Amino acid sequence: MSGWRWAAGAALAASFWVDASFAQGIEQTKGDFEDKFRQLDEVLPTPNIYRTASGAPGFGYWQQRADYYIEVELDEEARRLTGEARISYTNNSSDTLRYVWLQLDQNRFDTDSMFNTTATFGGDMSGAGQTTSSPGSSGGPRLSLSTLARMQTMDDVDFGYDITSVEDENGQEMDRTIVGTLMRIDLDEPLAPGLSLDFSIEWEYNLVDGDSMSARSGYEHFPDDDREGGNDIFLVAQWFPRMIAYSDYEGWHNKEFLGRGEFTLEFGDYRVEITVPNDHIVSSTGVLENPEDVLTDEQIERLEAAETADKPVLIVTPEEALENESSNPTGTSTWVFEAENVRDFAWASSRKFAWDAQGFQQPGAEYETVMAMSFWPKEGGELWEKYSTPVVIHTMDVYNRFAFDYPYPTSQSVNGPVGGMEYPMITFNGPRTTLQDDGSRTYTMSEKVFLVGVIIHEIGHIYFPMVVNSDERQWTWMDEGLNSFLDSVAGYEWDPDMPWGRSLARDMIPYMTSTNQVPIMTNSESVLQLGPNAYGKPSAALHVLRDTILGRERFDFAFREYSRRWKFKRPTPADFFRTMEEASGTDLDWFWRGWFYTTDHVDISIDRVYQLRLDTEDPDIDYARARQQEADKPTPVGVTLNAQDGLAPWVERNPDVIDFYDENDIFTVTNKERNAYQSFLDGLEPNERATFARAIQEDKAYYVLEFSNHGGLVMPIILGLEFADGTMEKMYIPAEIWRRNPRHVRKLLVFDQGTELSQVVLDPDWETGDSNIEDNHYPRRFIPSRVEAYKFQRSGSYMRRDIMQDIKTELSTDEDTVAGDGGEGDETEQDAAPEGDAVDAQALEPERAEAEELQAEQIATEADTDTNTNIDSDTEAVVQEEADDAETQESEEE
Amino acid sequence: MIRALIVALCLVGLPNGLGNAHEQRLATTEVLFNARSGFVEVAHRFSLHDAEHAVALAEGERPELLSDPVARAAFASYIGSRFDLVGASGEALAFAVLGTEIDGGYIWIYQEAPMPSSTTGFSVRHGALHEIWPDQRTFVTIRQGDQSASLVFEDDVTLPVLF
Repeated sequence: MSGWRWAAGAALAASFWVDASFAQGIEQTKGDFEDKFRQLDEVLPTPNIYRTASGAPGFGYWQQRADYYIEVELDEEARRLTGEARISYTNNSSDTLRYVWLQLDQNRFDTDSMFNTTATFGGDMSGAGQTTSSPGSSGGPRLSLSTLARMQTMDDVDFGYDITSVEDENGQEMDRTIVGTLMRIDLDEPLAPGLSLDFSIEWEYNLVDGDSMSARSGYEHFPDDDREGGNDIFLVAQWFPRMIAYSDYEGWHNKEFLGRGEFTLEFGDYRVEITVPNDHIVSSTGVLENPEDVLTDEQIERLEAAETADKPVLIVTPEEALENESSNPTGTSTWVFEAENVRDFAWASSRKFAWDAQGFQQPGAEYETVMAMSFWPKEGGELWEKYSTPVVIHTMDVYNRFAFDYPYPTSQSVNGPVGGMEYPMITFNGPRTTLQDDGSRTYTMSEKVFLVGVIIHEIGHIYFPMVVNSDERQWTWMDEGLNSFLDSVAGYEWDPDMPWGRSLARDMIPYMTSTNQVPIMTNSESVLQLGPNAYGKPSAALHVLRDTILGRERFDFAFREYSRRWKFKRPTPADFFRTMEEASGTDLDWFWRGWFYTTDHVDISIDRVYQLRLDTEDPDIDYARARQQEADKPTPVGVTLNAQDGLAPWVERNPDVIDFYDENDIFTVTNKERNAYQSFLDGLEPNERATFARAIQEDKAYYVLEFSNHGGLVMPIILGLEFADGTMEKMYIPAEIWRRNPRHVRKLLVFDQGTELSQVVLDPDWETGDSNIEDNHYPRRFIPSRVEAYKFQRSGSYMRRDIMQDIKTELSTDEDTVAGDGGEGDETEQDAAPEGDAVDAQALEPERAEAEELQAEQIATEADTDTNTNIDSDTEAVVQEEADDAETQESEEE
Repeated sequence: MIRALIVALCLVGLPNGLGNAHEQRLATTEVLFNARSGFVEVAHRFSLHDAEHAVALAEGERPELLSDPVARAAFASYIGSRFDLVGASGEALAFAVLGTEIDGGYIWIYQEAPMPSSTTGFSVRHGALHEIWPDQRTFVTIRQGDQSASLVFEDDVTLPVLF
């Protein structure tokens, strides 16, 4: 293409994508009207026999099936897996397949993978383990030790799959082509609809270091354990060649694995024989089929007892696990697990694991008893023993209400090097205790919150997307957003008083007003700010939809319907949007368009309120009102000043000029007006006359409210109305008020006679995430900024007291009083001089000392000015227990 | 140039065993030119959990920020030292750390500085936690009247504010 043609083409392409409506073939060529309510059917894929217009699977819906029989062995010393899989792939589509594709996710760690070769220096690729700083950084370009360790490991160890064999059912080698993290196998005979393909693969690969590689799996080494060479925890996931999804809407989902967008796979049955050192404990997707071969009789008895226990039962106690840490294997043992109708399979193995279990009962479900189980090393300590399994059970209890009964026989939480990741029936969760100098293990409140939150989140993922099989490699929000919404509900139901983070609309304002964001409907790998985009904002949107727009009954019905329809099936965004609309009976196209397809934010203002009164047309009434209105106006200042100066007007000083108009003002009614009034009444039809008479008799109070939309996102107008008599009323105006003018609307409110509106507050409960609340008040009100509010708040109130700290204060004795000035300053001093070996220890330490000095100064200052004792640190926090909702860890959990 | 960069390349350390993979490593900062109060107000928001891990990595022992006002003050002072708003003249505003607040799972750090005579041509530096986690990301929103600008810090760098 020549230069100018190329330029013209580029310009055309640019203009083509600027306006979504233009891209849909619709163009607003006059004026600037923007239809925020344009129906989404122009954007959504055309309904077909596979997916209906109502968002349900169509009568022709199909999905492929992949069953696996796998034998795998873990070489603990070499940290290497060797496996062989026999795969039975069933073509349920109506297409004839001449080749099949498999995912080779471990190839992401090849040095020449697309993931590695496109990693940028300085900056983030979320999950890439990117720990570099660019040359523009303060202090120059930097590499972290962990990055160097990663680079060295990749130099020393060959990562990625070594596919040693691919054979058909006759033992004949099959042609294969590896394309990054994908592998195509060519078929000698095309696979016709309804037929199955049986073939086998053998492979090996080196496990990655789960800490340094930012993987979703891998090993974690514990060099200080009481065993020569230490111990490892192995979290094994995305570990075998997996059949790539083939769907009605995308064909083969052969998109390279770049580390962020996870996966969708086909459902199938698994039998997996896992050979590990015989002193290991294995946690796995599925049900253990040979407990008698790998467990002691006592462990089997404990497991049986756990099925009906009302508390977790220890299968391997922490003491036994500690003892195991120093053992050495005498051979190997093979753990056999079977899982039905799962879309993936993962497992974990270590001699460090303590293990507890408790049966979760769900009468009437396919699996009436689900074994909730946790596996953790001593580093997990009491935090895990106390919370993990109960949280697993709590999660199923809550999610069952919102979706469906938990559809598997086990539900597990395993501690290891992965912060948070989910697979069918098994999740990896990272939070742990801290080892203190005295040998004890403690944890902070925030670590506890994180553990409870991450287990809820990851167990929740077993529902979405492990059962409701959305494709995270395309749309992260479909599982992360829905799951973040639900985990916040579950967190709140666990303990509303825990200091949860939140993802309500009000919490998303900084993100939603930022200029560096992309619509939620963006591919996982292209999303900027993944946490707010795919976790926080969709979660906030669903909270708004549930609590403000649809109401809980309609939302919950629709959400359950979506879950039910797509349980063990593969939904797309359109299926979710359509189901929620169809089942709730509400056109939500504007909502999806605004929240999911644009980067608009919410900012609505109330600009003006004015009162109207119906004219009676009766001149004896209306003229008198007009006279009173005139009389109510202030006297012109000049006239008042003249009177004060004793300047009498001419007409007062010369009464002879007084005439008719001085005694009859301009509001004087004559019979001419009275006759006109009578004529008006006579001209009305009987029904009109009745309507008019009633309106006059009722004499309602009419108010007109004017609103502007500055943020672009159309939302319901929620009004807090305050009346002169002190009563309050909350009014909800659906978003459709904006349908003909998305920028400015007026609304007439009618109240009973004599009602006086004294104040109007827009969105009084901060439901919509309105970014500017200063213009939400009429009359305008002083709204302090966050910093101003903080300054005002700390100026003195009960809330400013740090009771957690103050309660440790010992009661002063007479001796103390005589001694004088011990008191507050001493109590707040901490042992300084921490011994961190990090580079930054020096950076933080002086500031800590400065802070103490600062605090001491402020205490002194406040003591001078505040004679009401209560001398507190200026820097203390006010613990605000926001009980309205809990939240998800919206960013880095997977 | 390449040689210079290589020479300048330095290491940032992470003590072995203290790192955990589940930090959010994500923070937000709001900068408000508050004409009403006459101050430039700054509100930093960090995950409480991240903040505790960061202090643990730097100092070797993990604080309980929820209940330890001195640890909170130290953290606030540190954050303040890593944030600058630089005017067109190249001079950084003199921010005072006002204090901290716990809200849900987050710790907020507040700062303010008197409004400068010129309110255009600013640059922002935000290096908090980058020396501990080079993949720390901080999103900064600057509001001035009806205008707002957003910056993303993936490094300890200084970025211009463009309305």
